[in-house]
Formats: sequence, structure tokens, C-alpha cells
Amino acid sequence: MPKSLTPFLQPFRTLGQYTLLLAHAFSALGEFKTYRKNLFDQMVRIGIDSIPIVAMASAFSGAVMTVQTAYQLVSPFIPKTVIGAVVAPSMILELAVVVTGFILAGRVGARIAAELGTMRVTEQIDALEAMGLNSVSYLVVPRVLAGMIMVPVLYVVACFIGIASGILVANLGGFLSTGEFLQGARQFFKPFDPIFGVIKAFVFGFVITSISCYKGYFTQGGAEGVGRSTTQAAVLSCVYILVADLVLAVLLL
Amino acid sequence: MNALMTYRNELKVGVALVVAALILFFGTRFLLNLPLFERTITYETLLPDAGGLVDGSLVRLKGVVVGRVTEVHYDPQSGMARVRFQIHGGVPLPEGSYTRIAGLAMFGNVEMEIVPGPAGNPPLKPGSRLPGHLDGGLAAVAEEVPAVLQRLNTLLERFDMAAEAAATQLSTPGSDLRLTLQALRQSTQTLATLLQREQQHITRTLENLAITSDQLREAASPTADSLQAAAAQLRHLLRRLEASTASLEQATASLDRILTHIASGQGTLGRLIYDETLYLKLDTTLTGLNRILRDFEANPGRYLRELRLIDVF
Amino acid sequence: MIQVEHLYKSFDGRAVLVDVSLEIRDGETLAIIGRSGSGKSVLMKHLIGLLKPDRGRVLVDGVDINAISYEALRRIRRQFGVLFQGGALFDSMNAFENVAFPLRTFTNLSEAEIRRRVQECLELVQLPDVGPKMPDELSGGMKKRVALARAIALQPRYIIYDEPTTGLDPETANAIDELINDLNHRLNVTGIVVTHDMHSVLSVADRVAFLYQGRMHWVGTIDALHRSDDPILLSFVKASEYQIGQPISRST
Ligand SMILES: Nc1ncnc2c1ncn2[C@@H]1O[C@H](COP(=O)(O)OP(=O)(O)O)[C@@H](O)[C@H]1O
Ligand SMILES: [Mg+2]
Repeated sequence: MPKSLTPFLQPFRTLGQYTLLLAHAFSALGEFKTYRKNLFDQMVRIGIDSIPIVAMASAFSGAVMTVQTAYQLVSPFIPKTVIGAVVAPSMILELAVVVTGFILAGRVGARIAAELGTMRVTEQIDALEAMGLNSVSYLVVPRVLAGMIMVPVLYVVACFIGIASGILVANLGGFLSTGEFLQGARQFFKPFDPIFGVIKAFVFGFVITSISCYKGYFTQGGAEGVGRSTTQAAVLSCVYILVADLVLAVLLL
Repeated sequence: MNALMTYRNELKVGVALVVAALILFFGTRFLLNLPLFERTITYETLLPDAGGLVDGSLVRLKGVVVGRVTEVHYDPQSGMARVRFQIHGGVPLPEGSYTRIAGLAMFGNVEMEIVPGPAGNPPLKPGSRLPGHLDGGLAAVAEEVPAVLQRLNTLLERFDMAAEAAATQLSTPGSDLRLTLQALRQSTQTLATLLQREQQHITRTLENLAITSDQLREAASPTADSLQAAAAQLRHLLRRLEASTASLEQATASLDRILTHIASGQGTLGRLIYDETLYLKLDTTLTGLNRILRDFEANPGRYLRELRLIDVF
Repeated sequence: MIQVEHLYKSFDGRAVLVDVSLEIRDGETLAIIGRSGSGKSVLMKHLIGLLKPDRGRVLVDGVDINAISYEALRRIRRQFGVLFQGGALFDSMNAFENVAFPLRTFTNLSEAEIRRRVQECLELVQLPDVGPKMPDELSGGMKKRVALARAIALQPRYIIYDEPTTGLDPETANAIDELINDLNHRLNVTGIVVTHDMHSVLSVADRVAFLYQGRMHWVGTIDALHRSDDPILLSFVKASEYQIGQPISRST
């Protein structure tokens, strides 16, 4: 193969390697015994342990959104309920899930890549394989599954806290009452909205964990390599969250 | 280590999943304005035009939000919009209730309104189909029909009288005109009887149609699309009856004029009879009218079928 | 028996192993020696299919491990215990859990039996008290010994030691050498010792394989090594401050 072609082929190689890793992971889905303990470990670390930071971030975004919408829509011709009608669907459709996704890309994505990267460069992954264990089912499957299960949970928490804090700020700031907020929120509420949010959270959970696992699992080059993988995992997770966000919006809305 | 310690992670995750599921479920119901714990009942309705209704649109009963639209799709079978909606379990819908669209799609606040049937009626079964709001056209037609029939009836009587008077005066036996008028009289008489008989029935049907939405509901199920067809046919029939009425009015007027001429002594009847132009004029008018009336008499069904259609409702 | 036949391996166009052939007989202890970067670890990883050769075959008990399913390969791997260069202890688990890991994963032993076996292994590597310590809290030598305890926990048929004595103090190194001998003689374990520590080679190995610039330059018994006049082999051995015919004391 001519050397000049290599840079053009690299993306395909990466995609292929990524896909094969995931195929390997999902072909090992049946080995539940191998990853059962890890799965719950990871669900706690990815999901439960992220609740405080996700709750805080969504509380702030709900509050800020309410204040800014109130600020932008000061007009006697616009009913106050519009604030609720803007904040609640924004939270449910986009803000809660994207904020959660970004936080997890940093928190969980980086951690997964660092963890697996360190395991790779210190031969821990080799050690697992040498024992006769399927390292992918042991390491990748529980993380990706935990992401897909727990990010929707975090999304629900983020929605709840975000809207609640929006209502709280609306009251405290004297913008509108709880009843008015809810009237607005209900006016344009469609039952598919939260389902769409859950689907997005599910996909984001997959995107973040699978990219981070891929980056970590194939780390090369010692401690420096681990650093590189960690950064790339966080950045790529964010980028692909946005891509997935757009793709899902186009496909499902 | 006790069992609870070993499964600490499982416990945490389990609790988180259950809490999230509950928030999702009740949050959705809360924002949908559905009761959190009470059960809801699903109904269905067929609307000629959903007017921009979407899933999640409000459902009101007497202006009070009682539920949500859950599903809107085009039903190719009936050619209408099929809408499913949930309302609070505690709100009974009596038989004869129907739905209609309110609000403007432009402002995004399209809603569905339920007009409840008579309070005495038994409640609808869950899952049953409510008729969509009466098509404005059909209602209008239903209101229009009796008036037209009334007018036609009166005219027939007047024409009958005029024709009899003319026939008496045209005593010349064997006169073509006399024969024509005599035949006409017979036709109109039969027709008038027939109309009189039918009118009662038609009026009753139409009254039912306009007032008792209950009957309409039944109509909507077996012959759903015939509702639309019936409206169109009714309108068509009405136009034909109106045309006939116009001809009859003209003919009656001509006959009146002739009789006035004779009465005022402006020429003799004989001259009139032998005045080719006048005779022909009158004859053509009357022949045309006669044909319609004969046809009406011979096939009342053809004219009244459309009206009878309503009868099956 | 493990047979390596005409193995070629290169990374990014750089040849690391060139036409390497080798036979490891049941019950013997074979030392693979060579300078740093000569490809010893790469060769070792081929023995258990952690790396796939570009060309050539690796046969374990007659089975080409690169021609079988992943499942079958994993079953073969379970006959191996591997001590990696840096120990490769799982740093999310303490020493006890590390040693217990293969037992928990591959056996149905009761918790008490696992405890007993783990303690036995830790005592074998002379670290009976480190169980509750995390890998971070252990010195390099201790890590290696815990890793060795983990490698032998399942009583493997083959044990591969990658630089078992490198970086250890002489006393510990001697203890490890003794342990290798002990396992070999008492349990009839086949040992593959990857090392550049000539003292270790002399005290544990039955035969020696010398990797030089990616090629299998010289293979023979310890006796043959003493008698060899191969200049490249001699220069490597000399560099280890080892004089043929007169054993030296281990340098730190
Ligand atoms: N996974 C790998 N990717 C690229 N190069 C590698 C890889 N593993 C080993 N090498 C290279 O192969 C050569 C031999 O390495 P190794 O077998 O670790 O040497 P040693 O004999 O010291 O154990 C080194 O130059 C190393 O850089
Ligand atoms: Mg090495």
C-alpha cells in the first residue's frame, strides 16, 4: 500500500477498529457472569456518583433559562405563561440531556479512558487476557451497558431538577407563579418529548462510553499515551454527542 | 459481610432506576394534565379535519381540561382523521356526545372539545368511538330541506288550482291544451299527495338528524362515509327541487296571466287557443314541467332516495 | 510442549521478530535472554496469542493457537500463568483480591477455600501479610511477587515469567529464583523465563534461547552456553559481568 494513502485510510481504520471492538463486546453480552459485578460497579460510578454534579448543573441551567427567558420576553402582549412554555420543553428536549452528556463526557469519558488506558499500558489488559478472560466483555461491556442504562436515569433527574429550579426561580424572582409556569409548560407538552429525551440519553450514554472505551482500550505509548487518550475521549465524546443530537433530531422529530 | 453489603451497588442502582421510572411516568402524566393515580379512559373519534391536532393536544369538556389527545392519524378507510384521546376516569361521557376542533393551528393551540350528549343518556363504554362534529354542510342542508319542500308543496297546490280553473274555462272538448292541463292536474295532485305523505317522514328524519346526535353516532359507525355522501346528495336534490320549483312558479304565473287575459276580456279564448305562438309558449312550458312532474310521480324514489338514506341512520 | 515456527512480527513496518523458531519442552525451564528491546516480551506474548504473528505458527501441545476460535484460545490460556514485567496487578483491587481474582473467575471454590489458597500463594512468595494492601502501597518487588502469587494461583502447567528478577534486591531475586526452581521441580511446571539477568538464568534454566536483533541467534543448554565461543553471545554474557566458568555474585 503506498504510504501517501495512509492518512486517508486512517479514518476508515479507526472506524473499523471501533466497530470491531463493539462487535466483540456485544458478542460477549452473554457472558453475564463475567461482568455482572463490574456492571453494577460501573452503574454506580457512572450513574449514581454523577447525580450530584448533574443535579447541580441542571438546576443552574433551569434557573438561568427561566431568568433569561423572562428578561427577553418582557412585553405586555406576551403572556407570562410563555416562560414556562419555553423553559420546560427546552429542558426536556435538549438542555437536560445535553448538559448531562457534556458533564459525563468530562467526568465519565475521561475516567474510563484513563482507567482502560492505564490498564493497557501497565499490561493489566494483557493480564486479563492471559488468564483466559475476555477482557472486552470484562471491561467494555459493563461500561457501555452502564452508560446506556444510567444516562437516561441521569437525564430524568436533570429534567426534574431543571424544571423544578426553573419554577423556584420564577417564583422567587417574581416572574410568574407556579400555576402560570405549569400552564405554559403543559400547553405545548407532547408525551413524545420525554421519550425523545430518554432515547437521546440512551444514545449519548452509548456514545460517551463506547468512544471512551475505544480510546482507552487501544491506548499506546505509556503515561503520555494515557493522557492523550483521556483528552481525546472527552473531546470526541462531546463532538459526537452534538453529532448524535443532530442526527436524532433529524431522524425522530 | 451481610447480604445487603454484598448487593449494595445493586440496591443503589435498583432504587435509582425505579425512582427515575416513577419520575418519568408521573412527570409525563403531570405535564399532560392527567390525574396522577386515577385511571384514565381512552376514546376514539373520527374527524373530517383534524385541523392540526397533535398527540398531547388538550381535550376540553365545557371549557375544562379533562384529558389529552394521544394519537392522531389519517384513516384511509374512512378518509378521515382518527383521533384517540384519554380523559380522566371520573368524567362520564353520555351517549350522544360528539367532538369538535377548537382553536387555531396557526397559534399552536388547537384543542379538541367534547360536546356531551344529553345528561340522561347512559355513559359511553371505554374505547368507544365518538362522532366528529356534525359537518356544517349537512346541518345546513338539513335545515334547508323542509323549507324547500314546503315551498314546493304550496306551489303544487297553487298550480293545481290554476290548472283546474284554466281547464274548466277551456271547455272546448278535444282541445289539446285542455288535455294537457288535465293531465298536468292529475300529475300534480298525485305528486302533492305523495309529497304530503313523504314530507312528514322527511321532516321527522331531518328533525332527528338535527337534534338527536345519538342517531348520528350510530350512522357514523356502519356507513361512516355515507354521512359525507348524503350531505352532497341532499344538496344536489335540493338544487333540483329548487329548479323544479322555479319552473312551476313560471308556469303558474303564465297560467295566471292567461286567465287574467280571458277574464278581462282582452281577446277571446278561442283566439287565444288558436294563437299559435301563445299556445306553443304555454305548451312548451307546461310540457317541460309535466315531464319533471311525471318523472317525479313515476320515480319518487329517485328524488327521495337521498332523503331516505338518512332514514337508515 | 510449545513450538514456535518461523515467526515474523513487525510493528509499523519495523521488524521486531524475524524467522524465530523455538521449542519449549514439557517440564523444562527455558530462559529467553537478550538485550532490552530485542523482542523478548513480544515473543513471550506470541506464546499465549496476545499478539498475532505476521507469519509463522505457534503450537501449544500441537494446536496452532492462531487457527482456533477465541473461545478455544481462552481455554488454552487457562493452562498458563503469566508474570508480566511490571506485575500488571489490577490496581482497583487489593493484593488479596488480585490473587483471588482468577480463583473467583474460573473456579467454584468456596470463600474459605479461596482464602486458604490465596494465603498459600502469598506465603509462597514470602508476602503473607500484604493481602489488604492496594498495589499503590506496594514496592516494585512486592508487586512482582504478588503478581507471581496470582500467576500460580490456578496451578498452571506453564508459567511465563517476564523479567521476574529485574529491579529486585538480590535477596528477593534469589527467593524468586528458588521459587521458580521449586515450582519446576515439585510441580513439574514448564517455565519460560524472559530475562537479561544471567545470575537468574544460571540458577533456574535448563536451556537458554538468545534473541539478537529479532532473530533466534543461539539456543542451547547451560552446559553448551559455558562451552560456547559465539562472539555475540559472549559479548552479551560478558556485559552481564558474568565470566564463563566462574559464577559471579549478583550485582544490584
Ligand atoms: N505493541 C507494540 N507496538 C509497537 N511496537 C512495539 C509493541 N510492542 C513492542 N514493540 C517494540 O518491539 C520492540 C521489542 O520490544 P520488547 O519485546 O518489549 O523488548 P524486550 O526484549 O525488552 O522485552 C521494541 O522496540 C518495542 O518498541
Ligand atoms: Mg520486555
